Order: sequence, then C-alpha cells, then structure tokens
Amino acid sequence: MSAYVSVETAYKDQACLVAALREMGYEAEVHVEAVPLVGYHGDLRPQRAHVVIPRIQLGCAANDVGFERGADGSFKAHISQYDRSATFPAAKQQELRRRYAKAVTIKTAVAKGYRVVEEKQDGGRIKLRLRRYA
Amino acid sequence: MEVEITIEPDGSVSCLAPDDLDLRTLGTLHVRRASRIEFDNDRQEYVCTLTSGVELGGFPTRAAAIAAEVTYLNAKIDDGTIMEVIR
Repeated sequence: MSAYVSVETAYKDQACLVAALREMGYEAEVHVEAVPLVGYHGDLRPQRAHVVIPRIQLGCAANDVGFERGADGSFKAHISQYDRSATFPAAKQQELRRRYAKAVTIKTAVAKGYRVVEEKQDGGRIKLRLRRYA
Repeated sequence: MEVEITIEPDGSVSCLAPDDLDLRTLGTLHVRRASRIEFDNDRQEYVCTLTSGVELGGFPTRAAAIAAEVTYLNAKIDDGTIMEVIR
C-alpha cells in the first residue's frame, strides 16, 4: 500500500538556503538579527532579513534581496518589484527553490542513513534515487 | 530500501511516501493514498488496486505486489501521469 506525497517547498533550513544561493553564484550574508535591506540608492528599506544577497552581487540598480526568518522558522523572501522583473526574476527564484529542495532532500536522507545512488536531470527536473543499506 | 524523489523545475517535490523520511523538512506536505494491496481468496493471489480502480496483475507474494506497485507508480510520477492513476 503506497501513498503519494507532493510537497510545496518552503525555505526552512538556513544552511541549505545559503548553500543553494552559493551554487547560483551568490555569497549571502547571514545575520543573527534581521537587518534592513538596502535599496539601490543606498537607502534603508522597511523590509528586514536574516539572509541577504547584497545588491552589488545582483547588478546595477538592484536592491538587496533578503530572506526573513519568521516565528515558525521558515524564511520569507523579500524581492523588490524591480528585482522580480530584472535581477532576480521568476526563473531564478525557481532555480533557487529547486536547488534548495535538492539540498534539503539529500540532507534529510543522509541523516537517515541513505546515500544518493543516482541523480538524473531532465529539463530542469531532478530525479534522485536514494538507497539505505540495512 | 530505496526511495525515488522527483524535484520539479518549480522546486516542488514528489515521491511515494517513504516509511522513514520526515519530508516535513521540505515544506508543506499533501499526502494521498495511491493504492491498496490485498489477497484475493478466490484468485489465490495478491492484487494491487490503485485508487483510480486500475488493477495491477496478480502476485504470488505480497512483496512481489509491493515491488510491482512501486515500480509502476514511480514510472507514473516520471511521466507526469500519476494523478490519472490515483484520482
């Protein structure tokens, strides 16, 4: 008897989030206390975040992109309207979510004694085959 | 024990529910029953019935039925038609 599981991925693991960002070429700043994001004029924006991609890494006219940890431990992305259309568009957001999901899947599985025995990529889709030896 | 996990281009994840992995680490789960395996006393074999009503052959052992079920469902996840067979 099997059950089918689908998961709406949410950013909950800070280390995996930072690792996924690094894979995409961003060196995110990590703050214990949330800091205000910096706008493209150097102004402080009202949004605050614990994990920040500094605007200089995103391109000219960019604002910081940040991820703020909520009371439930999950991170909410703060991406300005400009950056949603220019420096951090939907395709990049999806890529981040995909890389993050892979990192958390592997971390969760390895903690239970699994190893990745096969990884296939097909058009942006990732298939992981995990095996645990008793 | 083996588990196949698919990560879609949008970052969502799908798989057959593993017995020993807590996938809540990934986010919000949606779980639905996919099948049941029962011994058919008249036919004297194990039968796997998907929630859509599709039946997967008869099997001499429960283990064989589970293996066939997992292979079939993973193939359906692969080709994107899983929801058609577990509706």
